[in-house]
Amino acid sequence: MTFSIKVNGSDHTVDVDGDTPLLWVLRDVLGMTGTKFGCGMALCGACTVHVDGQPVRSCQTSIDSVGGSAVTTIESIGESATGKALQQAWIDLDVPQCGYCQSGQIMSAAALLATTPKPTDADIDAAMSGNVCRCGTYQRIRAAIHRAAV
Amino acid sequence: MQRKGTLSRVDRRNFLKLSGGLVVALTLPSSKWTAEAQASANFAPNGFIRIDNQGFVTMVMPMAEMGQGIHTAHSMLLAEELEVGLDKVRLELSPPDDALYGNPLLGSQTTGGSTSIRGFWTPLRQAGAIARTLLIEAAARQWNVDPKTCHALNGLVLDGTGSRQLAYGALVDAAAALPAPAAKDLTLKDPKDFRIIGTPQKRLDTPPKVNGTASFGIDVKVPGMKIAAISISPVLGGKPKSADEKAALAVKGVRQVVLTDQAVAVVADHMGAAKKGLEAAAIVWEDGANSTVNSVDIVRQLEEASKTPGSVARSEGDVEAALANASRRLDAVYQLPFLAHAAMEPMNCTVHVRKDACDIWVGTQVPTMAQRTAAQITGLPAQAVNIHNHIIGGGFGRRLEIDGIAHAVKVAQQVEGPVKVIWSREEDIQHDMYRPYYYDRLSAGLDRDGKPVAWTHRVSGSSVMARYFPPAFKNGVDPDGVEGAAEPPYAFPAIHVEFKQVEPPAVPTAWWRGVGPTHNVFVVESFIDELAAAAKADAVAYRKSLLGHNPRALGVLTTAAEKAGWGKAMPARQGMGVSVQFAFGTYMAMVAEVAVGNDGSLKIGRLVCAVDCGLQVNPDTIAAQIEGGSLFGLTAALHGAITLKDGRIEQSNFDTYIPLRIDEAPVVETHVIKSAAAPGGMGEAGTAVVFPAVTNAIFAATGKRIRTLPINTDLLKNS
Amino acid sequence: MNRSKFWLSVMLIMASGTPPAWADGDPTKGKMLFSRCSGCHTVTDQNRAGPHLSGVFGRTAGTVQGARYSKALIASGIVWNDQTLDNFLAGPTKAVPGSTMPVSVPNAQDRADIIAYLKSVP
Repeated sequence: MTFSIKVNGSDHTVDVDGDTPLLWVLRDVLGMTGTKFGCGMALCGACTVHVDGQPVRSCQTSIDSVGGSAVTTIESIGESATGKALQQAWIDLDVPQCGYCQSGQIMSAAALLATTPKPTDADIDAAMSGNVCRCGTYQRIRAAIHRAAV
Repeated sequence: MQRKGTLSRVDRRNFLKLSGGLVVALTLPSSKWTAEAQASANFAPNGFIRIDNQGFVTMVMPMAEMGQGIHTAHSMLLAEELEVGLDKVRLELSPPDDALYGNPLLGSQTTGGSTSIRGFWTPLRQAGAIARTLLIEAAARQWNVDPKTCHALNGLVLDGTGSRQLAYGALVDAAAALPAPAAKDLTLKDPKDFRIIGTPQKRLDTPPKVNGTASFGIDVKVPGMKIAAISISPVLGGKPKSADEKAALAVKGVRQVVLTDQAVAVVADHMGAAKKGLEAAAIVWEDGANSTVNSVDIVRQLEEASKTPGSVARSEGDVEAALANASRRLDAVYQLPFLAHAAMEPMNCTVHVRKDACDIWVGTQVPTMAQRTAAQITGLPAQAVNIHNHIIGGGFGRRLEIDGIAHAVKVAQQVEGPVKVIWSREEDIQHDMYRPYYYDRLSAGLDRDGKPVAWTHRVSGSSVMARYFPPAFKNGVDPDGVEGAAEPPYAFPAIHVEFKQVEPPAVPTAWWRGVGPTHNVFVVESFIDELAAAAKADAVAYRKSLLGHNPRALGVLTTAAEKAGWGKAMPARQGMGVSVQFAFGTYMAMVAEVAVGNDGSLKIGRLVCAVDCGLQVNPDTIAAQIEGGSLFGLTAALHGAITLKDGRIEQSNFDTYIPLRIDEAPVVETHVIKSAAAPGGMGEAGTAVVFPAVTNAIFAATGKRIRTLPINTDLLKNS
Repeated sequence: MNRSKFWLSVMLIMASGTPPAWADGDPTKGKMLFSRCSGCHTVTDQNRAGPHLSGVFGRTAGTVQGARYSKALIASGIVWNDQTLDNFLAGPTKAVPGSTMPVSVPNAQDRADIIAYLKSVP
């Protein structure tokens, strides 16, 4: 079945089963590999994208539920002031180690700052607790969010 | 994983000599470069540096980047002596070549054991110096001056007066024609003259990691590539009997169903279809011999085996007599569980097998082993196997193994064109190769003053070394199995350490971040803490009294205690714990601050670390490795356990193999002691030191001693 | 989902005479299943990526102080009880289009067990 979706401002038409996770449509069909696969069960947050500005786990978001909503991925988050500030803060503080989780981390952080421009540590901990980092970069993530929030 | 110098005596042609000098293959013909190498390699004096006419510097990285920051650190070593800034450097991952890129400490092109700085500290600086020397020589000839009057800075050669300069790009052709100096004739910079080494340079790999362009093995895109989901026998060691191909092929996007001797793969246009097809395939398995294996029985087996002597790793003094005559004797059993790696990037490998060649795109810590594996499976000569290495989304030791590559090659042999095999998280956890279960028995004797007079430690568990590198497993002793146990930082009048090899049925064991020290530092630092408590002594003071001969260990211990505010009054059910270690060439001490709820729940408040790693390459990376390494260890201390029931791994995803999340993570403070000693390793030290710091803090807070990991908080309930 | 659909499904189920699955939930099994949820939800008063679920029964959706919700869930007006939880967990984005709760529990007995567990916590 064909679906028309809007990703990072561009329209795409894909021909896949309706229950295909948005994650694989992005990565394999559209070739946008910035969004990562980590667990397939919305337990790790590596696949986080925005749908109409809200953070969702794309591994558990079926393509047939997206409809006409605007999908934003890590590839274009830098076009927003918040996204750009976060990416710069991530660079300033050398946040990433292996880097695999960081697309999801930045997407979740961008969604947090959109609703809570000056988050407390507790706000950050709550909002970011769905994003797992096995390299342990959490304290730098927290510091970078504060830095970008200023 | 500390490899002694003897291991380098592996007989390989053109091999880098261990003596500390880099014997560079200076007559390296350009045909050795693989297809990916940039076209303009005008000046390539060694395997690590290429400079083109524009002065653009390409640095070829011998070791794999998996988050430990080695690509930046190695670039710093090269850049320091080459005299270039890091802002315009481009990095390439090295092709498989033990001769050019082998780690001198490990005897092969292997990233592991926290050896990447220690192994390449001198060779990379020499490589940079050789290149610089040739560029200066080329400029000097052009100016007709003595090269000793010239110097290089920031990609330029300047003459003695400073009035003439030539950019590297203008010199490459001339430099390429000159004979390179021997490594022994080089003078490397004195550390006081370092401009780059020792400074917190920005990591070179960060920008692509924050904008989605960083390409991990799982991200590779090859024309005509298909995606495969794979299922390996749920009962370890079983085989596929049959799969419903028709049902799988009925799924939109599925192209092919492949059965290998160990797995079933469904090949499709995208992973969604592949996964769906795999479910539809309703695979029937031949479970094989392991369907009755349970970890409960494995532990019982270890317990039995641990009761009788093993092979002696170290024996000094008469421990039996000393124990018999001791004023007080302590005995303890410590147990550590099987652990999974669970890196964020699940196992994956892309392979294209053709009649005469094989291409593999993967993130691996062992490219030459990968090449040999593929050659063996396909029957192709090694030279026909091209390994395209990638940055790795978390290694922790997992990518030291080539099982994922072997599976993918076997699948690809039956597929036309390239196929990317991706493991689900469930496959990744259930077909991992695990940190062994260790069952340790210890005894110690104390004299009237509470000082130790005897110390015995028998380690029982699987030997990873016996499988991975048999020459190092000698006389029944796995050197990694006793690393941190045979040479504790303390001087005991009588010490006896044994290793008892006990191989579990079914469970494959492998290297896990921190390897031997992660296991033995927990045991040693917990037991020494028990001795301190028995002697009614302060845990820090007790250790200090035993470290007089070990000033660097004393230094980190004193610093960590001071920075943590050791000795201050703590509220009820809160406490501090300490650990100290010498591992991977680095001295480290950690103080953990813990609060224990009445229900046993744990809150780790703070981890304070003092480190003496000798000369620092990148101080920011050192801090990052301590932050990350200790959180990796903390996760395992709190939640890490892999168990087996009826031959199947019971854990499957992050709901049952639980990761540490940001709201549970303590802040890690790092205090570096400046030292001019040779650099030590940093990738794993933080992981090893954290376990006992936390469990000793729990003892301080509650009086309850944790001897089995992961920490069972039920034991900590306020009764 | 809108109110009239909700009541319609309740009436249909009651009319069919089949007791709803949620009546037979096993809270012990539910606690085990809840590990799948605990990455984002706790049963204490701690919010994580999702709102805490302590006292969720009788609560109006989207009202926990300081928790993160989709606009859609806040607007839904749902009051959480056995039926609404069961319906939501069966397919959150179908039940509440625009919901950012991505995890569904397709198995009816699993849902019953989880719901029983949620009921059992203070």
